[in-house]
Amino acid sequence: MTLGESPHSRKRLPAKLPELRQRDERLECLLRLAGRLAHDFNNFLVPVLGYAALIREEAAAGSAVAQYAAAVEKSARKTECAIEDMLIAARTQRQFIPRCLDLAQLVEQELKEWKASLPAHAAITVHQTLPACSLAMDETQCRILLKHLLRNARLALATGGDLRIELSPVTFMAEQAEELGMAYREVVLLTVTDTGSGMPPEVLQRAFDPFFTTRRANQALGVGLAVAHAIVRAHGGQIVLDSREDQGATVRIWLPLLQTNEHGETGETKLGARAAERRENSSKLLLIIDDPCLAEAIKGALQRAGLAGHLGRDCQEARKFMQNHPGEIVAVIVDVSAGDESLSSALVQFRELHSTAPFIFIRGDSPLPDGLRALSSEAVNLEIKKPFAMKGLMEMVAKLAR
Amino acid sequence: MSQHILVVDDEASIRDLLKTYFEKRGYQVTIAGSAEEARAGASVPTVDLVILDVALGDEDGMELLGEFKYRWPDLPIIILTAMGFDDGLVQEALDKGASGYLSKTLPLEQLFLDVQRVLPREEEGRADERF
Repeated sequence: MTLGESPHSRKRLPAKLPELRQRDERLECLLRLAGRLAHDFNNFLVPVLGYAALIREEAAAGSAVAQYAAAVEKSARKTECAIEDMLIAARTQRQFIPRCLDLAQLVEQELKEWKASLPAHAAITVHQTLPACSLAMDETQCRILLKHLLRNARLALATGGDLRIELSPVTFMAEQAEELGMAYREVVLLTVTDTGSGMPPEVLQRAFDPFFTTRRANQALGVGLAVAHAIVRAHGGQIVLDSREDQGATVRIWLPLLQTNEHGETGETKLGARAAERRENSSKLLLIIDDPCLAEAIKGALQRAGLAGHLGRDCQEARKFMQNHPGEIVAVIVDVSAGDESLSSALVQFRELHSTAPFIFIRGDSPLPDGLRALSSEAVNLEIKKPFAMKGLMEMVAKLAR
Repeated sequence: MSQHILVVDDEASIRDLLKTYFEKRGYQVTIAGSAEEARAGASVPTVDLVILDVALGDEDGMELLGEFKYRWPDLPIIILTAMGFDDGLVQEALDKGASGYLSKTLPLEQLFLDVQRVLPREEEGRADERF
């Protein structure tokens, strides 16, 4: 579709470049400040989390003191999640792993999850038009973007209403792309419209500011649109919000399609040079985990990190996979927390056959059996104890996958 | 003799926490709040491991990591950061020879496991002579 005659024609573009540029520059400054604050907040959280853990450790199990300490930890961890969002927004480029993905598929997945989270009486009707479209995007960031958009829509539709979510390919004329501060003319427009409460001009003007919220303090941190803006801009796109009080809101996001720009670069060649490099060095991880929930969670986390995780339910299956992919396995993640002795002896045999790939052992309260500890003679093995934060495991994987 | 850890962080509360935590686990702990104190601390021959904050007030922890690994290649250094899990920083830390990279907000037990992983066993003795 050529934009000149389309509903998204130049006349309909809601903002002009100087305004957008001003907004982008202001948000960049605010985000840098927010990133600094998030870093400082993390520093404040460390002693809270650490001393709470020490108190819990010293208190009798199940005692009131242990419970108080656990409550402090739980609360601090919640804050940590919000801070993590802010850090992502402040440093999108540093954690940028773009790869080719179908945005429609991702929207559908996130929408499905969102719908499942709605109470039965939410009285929200969803209309979706989601043709397939390939983009070069960082999947983790893309999911965060969609989650924030849907979370905002949920709050706007607290009393019910319609949510319309659409994807449409758009071809900009050169000046239109310039007006939006975009380098690409072949783009996809993601539109999220709700018929909710909308916002007055003074709120609309500050809607992208980090920590700006009209909601009660414990309901929203006010980082959703700031994070969305940072992610969209990091992908070479643009985001605009239109709203009037009591007339709902529309978020429009333009993102470059996998097409050639005027310099002959494709979205993927420009955005995804690093991703392509990663694909070349594509590393596989072998999972030997019998708990399906744990296996699924780890596979999901690996996928978000752009790594392939193959699940071999037992050593025999794992060995077969290893034989078919010689030299490609960078690490084996194995759950030994059940203390299964047959698994331990199978791993010893496994190591005899494959001496290069290190193990990441997931263990329970018991220390690693000597037999497994001895396996580290030819490779540096790592271990992580349950319960563990997925982030911790991913950090270990990152060390080994490079 | 217990193994000796040098904790470098410009946040006093974090230094004190890590000192308490590792002393309770039988380690000898020295703390440093600046790059200058860290240089003095790391040059003590008994130090077996350094836990180093990326964002030191007066100097970049990554620069310090490079300097320490140049002067004492076999001294294990674990990087701690309040910047969350950052792909770029992890790569930079590993390239400069860090033995580990952890977010500060991860459970302390995770740091303890990492320390156990990278510290040479007592019976193996010190890997190098530092001066």
